[in-house]
Parts: sequence; C-alpha cells; structure tokens
Amino acid sequence: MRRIKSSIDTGSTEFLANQAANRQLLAEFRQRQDDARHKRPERDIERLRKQKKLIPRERIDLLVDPGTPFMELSSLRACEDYDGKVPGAGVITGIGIVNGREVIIHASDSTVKAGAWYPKGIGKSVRVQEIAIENHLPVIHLVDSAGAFLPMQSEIFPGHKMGGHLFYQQCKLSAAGIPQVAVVLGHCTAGGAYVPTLCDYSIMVRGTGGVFLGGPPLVKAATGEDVSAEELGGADVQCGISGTADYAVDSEQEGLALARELVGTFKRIAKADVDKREPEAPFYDPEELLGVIPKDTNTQFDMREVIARIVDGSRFHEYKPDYGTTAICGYAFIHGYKVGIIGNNGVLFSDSAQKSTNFMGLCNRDRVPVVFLQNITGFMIGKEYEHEGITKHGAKMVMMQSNLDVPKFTVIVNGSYGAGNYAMCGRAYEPRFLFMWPQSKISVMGIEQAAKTLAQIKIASLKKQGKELSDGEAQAIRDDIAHDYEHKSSAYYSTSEGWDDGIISPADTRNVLGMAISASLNKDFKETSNGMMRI
Amino acid sequence: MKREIALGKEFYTVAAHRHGDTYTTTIGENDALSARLEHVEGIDYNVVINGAATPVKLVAHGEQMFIHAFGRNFELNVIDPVDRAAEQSGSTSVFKAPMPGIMVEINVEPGQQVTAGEPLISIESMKIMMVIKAWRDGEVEAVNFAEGEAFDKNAVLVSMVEEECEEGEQN
Repeated sequence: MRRIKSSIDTGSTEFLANQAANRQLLAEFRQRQDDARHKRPERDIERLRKQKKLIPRERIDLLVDPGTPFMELSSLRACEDYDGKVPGAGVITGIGIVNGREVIIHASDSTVKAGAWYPKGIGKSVRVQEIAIENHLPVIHLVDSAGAFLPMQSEIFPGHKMGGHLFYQQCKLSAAGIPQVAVVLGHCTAGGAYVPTLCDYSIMVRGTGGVFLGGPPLVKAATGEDVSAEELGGADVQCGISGTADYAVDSEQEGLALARELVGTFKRIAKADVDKREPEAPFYDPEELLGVIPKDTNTQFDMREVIARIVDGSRFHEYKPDYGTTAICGYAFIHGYKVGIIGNNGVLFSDSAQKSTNFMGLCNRDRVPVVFLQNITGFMIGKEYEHEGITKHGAKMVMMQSNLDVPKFTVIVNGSYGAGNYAMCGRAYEPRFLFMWPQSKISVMGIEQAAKTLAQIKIASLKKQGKELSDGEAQAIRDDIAHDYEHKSSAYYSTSEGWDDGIISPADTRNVLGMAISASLNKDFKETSNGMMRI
Repeated sequence: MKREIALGKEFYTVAAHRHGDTYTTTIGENDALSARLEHVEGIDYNVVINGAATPVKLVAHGEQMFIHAFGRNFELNVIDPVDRAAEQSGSTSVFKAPMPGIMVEINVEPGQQVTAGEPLISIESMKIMMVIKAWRDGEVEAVNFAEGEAFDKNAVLVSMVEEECEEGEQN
C-alpha cells in the first residue's frame, strides 16, 4: 500500500492559525473532561474516606492491569444537563484490560450524589451494557449507589430503555454467555439489589456492602422490625446465610483483587478472524490534525489528510479515485487491523453514494470492518440530481450500510448533517462505537438554514395573530432561535444526550479506534456471501 | 518482492526473495547475490553479501534511507512502482468543479507562475468553502469564471499550461 502524500505545509500561516484555534477548543474539552472526572466538593470525598471507601477512579486503577489503557466512554454525559451538577451522569463506564481480558467496567460514581441514578446515568449504563452485548465483553459492576434519584423517578423507572432495562440486559448478557461480576461496595437497595444478584459472581465488602430488597428504614416503617444493615443484608448474611452473594471480603482492595482473579478464570474467546499485520506508527504525526482541521467549520478539507494521520504508516489504497470523488473510499490498517474507510470530501452525489455502496459490499464480503469518517452536509439536491435518482442511490447506501455484517465504527470529524448522518452510519445505525471531535456540529440541517426557516415560521404565525413585528423584534427572534439551534448542534450537547460514545481529541482517534476494533472482535460476525454487483 | 530504488540519480530494480534470514537478491540483470543484515552491538549493522561482512550505519525515514558504508554516505529512496509509472505519464492540466457552486475568490492571473500548493481560487458549494490549490508547479492558463459567477458540475474552473513531457531528452 502506498503512503499518502500530504500536501499540508505545517509551517504555513493557515496551518498555524487552524492549530491555534483547535488547540484552544481541545484545551477547553480537556478542562471540561478533567472537571467531570475529578472536580468534587471536598466534603463528598471526606464522606467516602470516613466510610473507609475508595474513590471510584482509585477502584478502577486497582482493577485494571498496570500500564494498560482504560478507555473511558461518554465521560461528558449529562454535561449540559442538571445544571452541570451530575458530572459523567454519576456513572463511570469504559473498556479496560483485566487479567489480559478486555472487559467493560461499569462503576457507580459515589462522589456524585452518593452514586444516585439519574435519567442520563441510566441511559449511560444501558448503553455500556449494549456495548458488552454487541462485542461480547465481560462486565464488572462496581456497585455503590444510593439508588434512583427519586424526584426524577418518572424518567428513570418505567420506560423501555430505563431502569428495568438494566436488569433485562443483565439477563440477556447471561444468556449470551457473557460473564458478569459485581463488587458490592455500598448498599444496593430495592431494584439495585438485583444488579449483584443477577451477576454470575458477586463479591461483598464487610461493613460497607449491603444487599436488601427493603433497607432498614423501610423495614422499620413497614413492619416495625428493628434491624441493622449488616444483620439485614450484610456481606456475611448474603454470602454465608442466604447465598444471594458469593464472596465476603474485608476490604475494597481485597474485593477488587478477587474480581481480577475471577476474570482470569473466564473462558478465553477466540477473536473474529480478520486480516491483521504488524502495527506501524503513522508517517504523519497525528498531532498535526489540529492544523489540518480548518478553524472555520464551513471550510472544506481533504479527508485524505485526516486518514494519513490515523492509519498505519499513513498508507492507504484508494478505491475508484476518479469516480464519485466526494466520497473517499479505501483500505488501510489501524493498529494492525485491516479496515475499509469511507470519508467525505463534500456532499454525497449519486456517483459517490454508489461508490460507497459498492465499497461496503466488498468490505462485507471480505470480512473487513468499516470505519466512517463523517464530514457531511448531506446529499446533493436539485432537479438534475432528482432526475438521475439521487434519492434512490442514497437509499442504496443506507440499505447496504444498515445491513453490514462486519463491525462498523464512526467518527464525526467535523460536520454531521441531515441524511448524510444516516448514510454515514450515525448513532441510529448502530455502529459498534461512535466518537466525535470537539469542534464537530450535528443537526438535521445547517444552522443558518434551519434558523432562517424556524424564524420565518414563527414570525409568520405571529403576524397571523395580528402582531406586527419591528425589524429589531424579528431579528431578536432569529438570534434566539439561532443561538438555541447552535447550542443543540454542538458536540457537547450530543455527548450530554448520549448520541455518541464520547468526545475525543483528534490525535487520539487512531488509538481509540484501535481499542474499539480490538474489542469488537470478541464477537464473531456472520458472513453474507454474494456476487458483487457493480451498481 | 520487487522494488525500484533510487541511489543518487540512478534507478535500480531490486528483487529480493527471502530464505530464513537471508535474501537472494537480484539487482537489474546482474547475477543473484546472497544478502543478509545482522544487527551488531556498537556499529549498527553488518551487511553480509555472499559471505563477506561489511559494517553499515543506517537511518530510515519513510521511504528514504541514509546509509554509511564502504567509507561513503548514500541516500537511497524506495520508489513505489505506481508512483513512478504515474510520474512518467504526466499530469492533468485542468481542475473541474466537483459540484455546482459559485466562484468566491480568484488569487491568480493567466500567465502567472505558481508552485504546487499555492491557492488558485476559492469556490463555495452547498454551504462549504473550498480553496483550490495548484496541484503542481507551472503556469496558470486561464480562470474561466468571474468572482460571484455560478458554475455547473464538471465545469473547468481553472487550467494550467500543459506540461511538456520530454524529461531527459534534452541532454
């Protein structure tokens, strides 16, 4: 495979200006992520220390193999909600390496509202379980939660992917032969008691761990019985008398070490067979991506420059380079795994949609996972394009993409608009993982167009009611709408809502994709054999 | 494997077939050699050709390699066969519109000499600004639309004077 020849001058004023602007955005992202991970009121930390509990991130450090990366997911979930007071939505999720196995870690963040479940936290937990199911990854639950945040119970309790779904998916994980371990580090009351109980293995810490359907205060209120938490459902009761849990330990450290030992006993799974070779660092420095991405999100850039800074040796075999040139398709290796890449160099036309469809067909037949690099404003519109069947060609792309058997991965590197988001494997199309760069924008159409349309409708309806607006008032309406639309199009809003699996630094893309691809291969995929039609 | 290698201004076709840690190496039409690279503490490498060892130092940067051996320095480039073939077949002289749009800015005049990477024109299509840069060194022939003017897909936006393909024939 040939090396991409970059035409970027890393000393040019344009590069340096882009780099300065993107570095600032990256610094802002790092600050927000750092705050979400570590910034807590002193009293919350004190409270845990007094209870002889570890901070959740200390628990994760003890759990994972030393020197291995912990790939945290959705670190900024809920960052634009609850007045920013529930960092990470009160849950820490990610992929770690424990005793040589790739596992999902699902930990209550007891430094946030005593680990209470918020609606977005439930969403985050449900999502990480989906990841476990889709990629056949064992789950370690570190349970230390106050239970549902009662004032918001209506958004937590009854709906499809709400609280109940957590337990449902635990059962589905078990049926799929995916082992789960719980380490009970706090009280699991009511529904929460099912989390450890539905695991294959559960470890309880004496003194702080407790499992009960009704906690001591509820028992007192209901029956008048006076009972201590330890007597009611402490580690010795549940592990020694009831058999509800399996291992009683004296400290968190002991519990976490035991969890590591247990993971080591899990059956090793043969990974899905895909083309691999010795990994090679990119020839062009991934850090240069900050200068490659234009500071103005409406300026076009060559996706090959991005690919060159993600893939092994910056080598890329481009498929059909002279046809459908607004879609860049081709083969490359990422951390030694062969992938098919589809990136955007402009709007999708009939020819670029057909080329992408053909390329995906080849990848699927040949067991090559597909990576989508989104910078897409949508499909081309206009009479000429309708007459040549742009809608039908776009539908082919959506059809092929939706039904891929190979694992697929999406990175939104700049813009993600309209049906382009769909064709390029947005969240709704169930890529195994989806990540976003900090400056990215995501919405059904561009901000200017949408704000104009919305404002026109609002102004027209006010006029119907007989209200004459001054130019200033009309402008104020436009500005308000544009501001709200812009906010809801940002990467932060997306990640807060859980439309992605996290914002990442552009330079980390290669490593994140490498871990994601490696994790995805724990689940084998079927093959659809078919002759490849040139469409 | 077969590689084209540039050593100074000379090109060589090198074929290497591996047997264990030794390569049977054929350079051009010459007889095959047996070659092996040994890592040696302190002096980098020994290259062993038909049994005779010579110490070498080497630094690789992408496809480029700097070698010190036989008391001299060599710069060696591995040439990709596709690139070399493409180079010999010349390159295009026009830039066609990838989609309908509007000419936003013109940075050059006909007759102007430009170097590869220099901005020629800026266009806007579907809300996206695109800067078209010179794809090679050369002379601008024409810019076919005025600023603010609309164009269709595949319209020739800017052209450069055809390159003369007579490399090497002037000596």
